[in-house]
Amino acid sequence: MTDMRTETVSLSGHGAYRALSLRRQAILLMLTVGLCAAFVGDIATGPARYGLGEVVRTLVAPAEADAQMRVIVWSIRMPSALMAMVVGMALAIGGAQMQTILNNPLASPFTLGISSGASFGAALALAFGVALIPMAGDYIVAANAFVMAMATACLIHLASLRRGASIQTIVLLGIALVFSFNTALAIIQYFAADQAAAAIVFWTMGSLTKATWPKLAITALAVALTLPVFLRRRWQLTALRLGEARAASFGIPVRRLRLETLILVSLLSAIPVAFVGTIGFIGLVGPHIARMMVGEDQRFLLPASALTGALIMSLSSVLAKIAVPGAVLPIGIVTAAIGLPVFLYLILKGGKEIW
Amino acid sequence: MVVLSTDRLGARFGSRQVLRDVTLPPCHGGEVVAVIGPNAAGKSTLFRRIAAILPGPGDCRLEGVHDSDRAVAYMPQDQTGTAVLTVFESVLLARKQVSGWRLAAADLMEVDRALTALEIGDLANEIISELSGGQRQLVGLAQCLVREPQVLLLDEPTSALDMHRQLEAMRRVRNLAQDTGMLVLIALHDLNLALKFADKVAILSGGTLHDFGPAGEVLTPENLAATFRIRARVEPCSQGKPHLIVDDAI
Repeated sequence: MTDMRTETVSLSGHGAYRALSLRRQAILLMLTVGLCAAFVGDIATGPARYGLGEVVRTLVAPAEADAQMRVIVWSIRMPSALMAMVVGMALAIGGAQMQTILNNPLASPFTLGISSGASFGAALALAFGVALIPMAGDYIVAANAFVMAMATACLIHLASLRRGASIQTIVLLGIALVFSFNTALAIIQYFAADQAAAAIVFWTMGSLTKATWPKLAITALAVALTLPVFLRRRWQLTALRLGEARAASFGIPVRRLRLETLILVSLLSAIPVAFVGTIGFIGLVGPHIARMMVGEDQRFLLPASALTGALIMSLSSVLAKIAVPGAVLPIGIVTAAIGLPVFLYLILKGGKEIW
Repeated sequence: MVVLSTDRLGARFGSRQVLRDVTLPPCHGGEVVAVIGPNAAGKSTLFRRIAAILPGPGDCRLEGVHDSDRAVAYMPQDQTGTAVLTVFESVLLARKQVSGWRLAAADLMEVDRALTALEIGDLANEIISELSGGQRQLVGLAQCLVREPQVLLLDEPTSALDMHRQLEAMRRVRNLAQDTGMLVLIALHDLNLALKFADKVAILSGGTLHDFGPAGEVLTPENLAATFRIRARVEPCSQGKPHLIVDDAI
């Protein structure tokens, strides 16, 4: 932020603001280019590795590509590569908005218990075959995870509606929910059969191998439906960061805005977790990196968070495939391995500038 | 010209009645009305009721308003925050709450104008959370002005300013009211500022309106003793201007 300021200080008022906006647009462009490169890299890596040029040619002109490569690129790797991007977008946008409405830098689907709730729901299905939505069929695990994630979000909503409930109350409730669900999960694992316990462990690590076109479509739809709503309310949401009193003084219905945003964010967080399992740190680190690059203005923060989240997920997907030869690591392990040090770095080096 | 009056305005926090039957006589555009009173007298609550931020019984009447959405601007006491926003952005945010969701060149010009009017144009690119308390108060004032209100509610806007800036800020507010026909209600703790700059004074005590009228008529030893629990008097200073002298607490 300091560099940004010294760069523009010589310009006056709105001239400097325009320069700042252009700089932010350039950052968004660079993130988009980086994401495209990571996406191609994600498709190129796997048990059979391809050159980036080959992959691009197959993507641009599939009819001219080798049949085997066409199947691998378009039918096998494309859904998981796209899923990585869309899940990263959804979690990062969700995290950015949670941090905004709760005015807390540690808020994310992961830290508020939504991911833990989903894991608990999934474990019920994997260990005991309990279906929270009858007739869920092959989607029993995802359906259970979704129901529990939304139930957790509803619990947080109800708590926020209580008279005198502060933002700190909500965050502490989220932490209590994380511990409660983790305890319940441990109990389920203890009583579950060995095979089921292993399945639960694998699910909670998150994996893109579960990606399919229908799951991808539903997740993308959640992003496509919620992002325009957030962008429409960008001035109000940004004003929330000035504090509740000042936002209210601008005529913003703070409580209603917070509640409606929390509902949309819950949806945005529950769907990806239901489909790919628990993926931590994206919703926490993605928005922080985006905020360091483009500031709080939601016109830039939202797309920057989405692009940063997608970029981290795509790079994590590549790392998951190349870190251990012959094996694909669960992506949740990789995001945690990348996210935790980045998060610690942010706290220790950049904390004062961010918060 | 805008005219504001209230009729039995009230507010309650849980079981606690914090504002009761406050009926302000008509206050006219171009006037500065100081709202004074001891701590917890209900000054902020009155402003929040007038700004329609708090629900409660009673009516607030506004006549001569051009645009009801932007007629009243309220500057709260609390100017803290951790946002990574520049001063220019934060003032623009206030403007964008009342001027549609697309950013227009006129919005940027208005922000420039507000910052220039308060002589804080040099802070435009500073991060708001890194400013001093006094600078934040000036930014808060700019956030109000940029909305082009007809009624301005300022909740202790000088509490973090040094003496020079207090006088400067009050003079600016005074000129603003006279030049633009804006009605300014300003909560103050410094009674001499009220005496010097306000056309009228409203004294609140225990959530009710104790007295209302021209400063010279309202700031009497009896009123000050009854509401502030101080022994005080107004006497002409060496320049012949009225000055409040506080002798002791009662």
